[in-house]
Amino acid sequence: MLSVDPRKCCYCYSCVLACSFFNVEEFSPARAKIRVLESKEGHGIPLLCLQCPTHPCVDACPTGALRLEDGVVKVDEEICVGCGNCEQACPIRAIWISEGKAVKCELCSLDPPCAKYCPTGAIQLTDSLEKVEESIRSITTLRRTS
Amino acid sequence: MGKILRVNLSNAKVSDQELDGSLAREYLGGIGFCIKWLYDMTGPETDPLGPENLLIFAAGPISGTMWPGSGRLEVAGKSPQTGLAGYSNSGGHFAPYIKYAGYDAIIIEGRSDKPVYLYVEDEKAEIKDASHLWGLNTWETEDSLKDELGEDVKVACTGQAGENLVKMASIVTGKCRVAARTGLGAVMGSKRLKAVVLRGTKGVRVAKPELFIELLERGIESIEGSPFSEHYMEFGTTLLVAPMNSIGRLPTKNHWSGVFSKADMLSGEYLVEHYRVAKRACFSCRFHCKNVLKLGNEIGDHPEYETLCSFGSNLMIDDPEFVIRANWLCDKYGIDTISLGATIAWAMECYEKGLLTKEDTGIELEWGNSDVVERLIHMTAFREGFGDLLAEGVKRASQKVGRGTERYAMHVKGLEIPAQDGRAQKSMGIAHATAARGADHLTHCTFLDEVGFEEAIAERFGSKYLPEMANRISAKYKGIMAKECEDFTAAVNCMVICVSAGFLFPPLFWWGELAQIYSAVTGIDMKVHELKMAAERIVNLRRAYLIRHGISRADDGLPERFTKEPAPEGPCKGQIVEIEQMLDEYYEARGWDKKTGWIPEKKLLELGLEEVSSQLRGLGRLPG
Repeated sequence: MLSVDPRKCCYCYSCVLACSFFNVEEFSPARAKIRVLESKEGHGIPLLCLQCPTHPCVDACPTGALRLEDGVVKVDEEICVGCGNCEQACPIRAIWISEGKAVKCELCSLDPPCAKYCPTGAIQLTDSLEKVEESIRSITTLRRTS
Repeated sequence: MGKILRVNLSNAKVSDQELDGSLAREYLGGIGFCIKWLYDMTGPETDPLGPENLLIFAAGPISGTMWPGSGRLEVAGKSPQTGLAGYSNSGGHFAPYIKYAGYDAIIIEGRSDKPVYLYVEDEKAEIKDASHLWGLNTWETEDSLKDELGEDVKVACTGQAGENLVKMASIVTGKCRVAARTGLGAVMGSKRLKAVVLRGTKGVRVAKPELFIELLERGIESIEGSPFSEHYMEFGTTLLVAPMNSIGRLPTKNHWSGVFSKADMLSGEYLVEHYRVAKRACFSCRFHCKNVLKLGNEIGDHPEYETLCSFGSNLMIDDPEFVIRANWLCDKYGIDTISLGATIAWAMECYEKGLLTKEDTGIELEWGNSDVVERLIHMTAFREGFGDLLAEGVKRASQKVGRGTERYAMHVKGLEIPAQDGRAQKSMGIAHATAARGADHLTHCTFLDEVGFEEAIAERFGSKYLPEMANRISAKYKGIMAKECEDFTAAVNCMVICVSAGFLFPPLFWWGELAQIYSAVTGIDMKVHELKMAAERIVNLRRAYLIRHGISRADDGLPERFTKEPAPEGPCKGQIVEIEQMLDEYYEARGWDKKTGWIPEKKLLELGLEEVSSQLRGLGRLPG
């Protein structure tokens, strides 16, 4: 799983660039599977799927396009109809519709470049469910105020 | 191959222009393109505030990639401050989006009848009405455009200072990252162009991805392993206040001294401890050298070292909260803090000496009075009262007043001197004197004698230059250092990478690394000697542009404060800048004529600048 400490995020986009480069072979924030928002306090808010244990996105998907595979929620683009229910269900909006299909972080075979290239440790690989829950709480609070 | 967006505001036409392959090879990108276009499309007849001037926003070949510090933007035009080549560089998130929107650069000419902004999205450009934005400051402009167009757009805009043609007006991106020098915000104002707004969903591909990642990994290792990085990441340029004060190089009281007894109050440590709420980086930068500060209900970036001097020590102000506010105020109005601070410092000194009186100024000026300085910032932005004179910058203001006030005007070629003192660091003397945009430390980036980077000097120049080159109060070899660092800085500013992301500071990467990065991204096999030649070509073309405007050795000087008034106190007490000696050495290293400062035909031909050579011949400005 990934944990995020948005207060450590310096809004440098390294995660987004690494994500697009290793997933779609070009540097393109628009084509990355993660996003970074700007908080009112000047730091960034990385939005990426934290593989939360309740996975409301999966429950909200009417076609079965979102599936759990070894604890990771994956998108089956063949089945996805781009209805956007998942986007509404996600507490941190880490899944969204682009060109008619759901886009989300699928954890890059447990070796995510976003965490690897994050210069501040704001994004980290973790085994701790507590850390993930804390990440969701802090992102949700920040999103409400930003 | 890339693409240039051409915009003519006079007839509201936008068009795409294919990037010429030979231009890319000979001038690389960024500052290189800017200088080439300025040379080809403007000249002595160009009025900087006329429709014929250009305003260029340029990215470079490395922009938009993940190379640390590659988010820099180069802006250029003929400068309303100097009447010469104006160029200014800013961080933030704007430049990569020029690429993501499908372009390498945007060239804007002409003048609109009414306020407009330029909106560019994925290879489409549109000139849009900006009457609702005219009169807003840069922060309000950015907020308003984001409300209108969405949070994901990137904005570069000018504030009231640019609208009011304040000569030192800046261009502000993302509220706090500023292309401040040489008054390009006034060029924007003269064109009635309030903002350039980008949205881009395209990507940047690199030609050799595996090699790029290998170089990136090595680069990151060098950055993280450098003893200078940790401190720099924590404080950014604010870390300079304490050490520069301790070497007598923190300009104080209009550059009279280099020692400020209250410098502790302006230090990065003080700012971080009392006001920091977050760390902040420019696009794709691991140094995250910005600290976000909070004062009352407001949040914004810390003042850089330059501003801690220009609105702090150089005005004898020791109130950090005032400097934070003054910095934000200048960012909002869109004013260069270096130039305005230096112009106010001139006024203060002239007032103290009785050369300016209340009759001239309308208010009493006294060192250290921050309330007065705050009023002067407002007055300058709106050209009210005495502010109308300050808005002209220190050269014109002092010439208008006369009465001997010119002596206290700290500028070179019309651009105010930044926060260095050549008496305490000789290389900064030659940098200020010869920089093409006027007094400047960032055209040459001669940082190697600042805290004595002996090892880097030995590697880059050879140990035969030690110990003198590393000794900041020795004038010897500083002309040689200035030449080489100026070429390298030009190459870095072509890419466009931050000079403080391991290239000029800390000195981690040199020509070899830069050529490798360029080759990996572009796929063009660039040898070190070719890269050096391109950089030298750009620097020489920039000089040729100045020569066309009548600049010669006589203009490559410093105010007498640095050459005739020995430093009055501190560790370099008694020092002056041996400018003539360093100029001789610099011109010799450049292959320029020592008597005139002109470029010999042989040098121009060697760089493939045949047309420039015949043009200068026609003007009678080839030496010998």
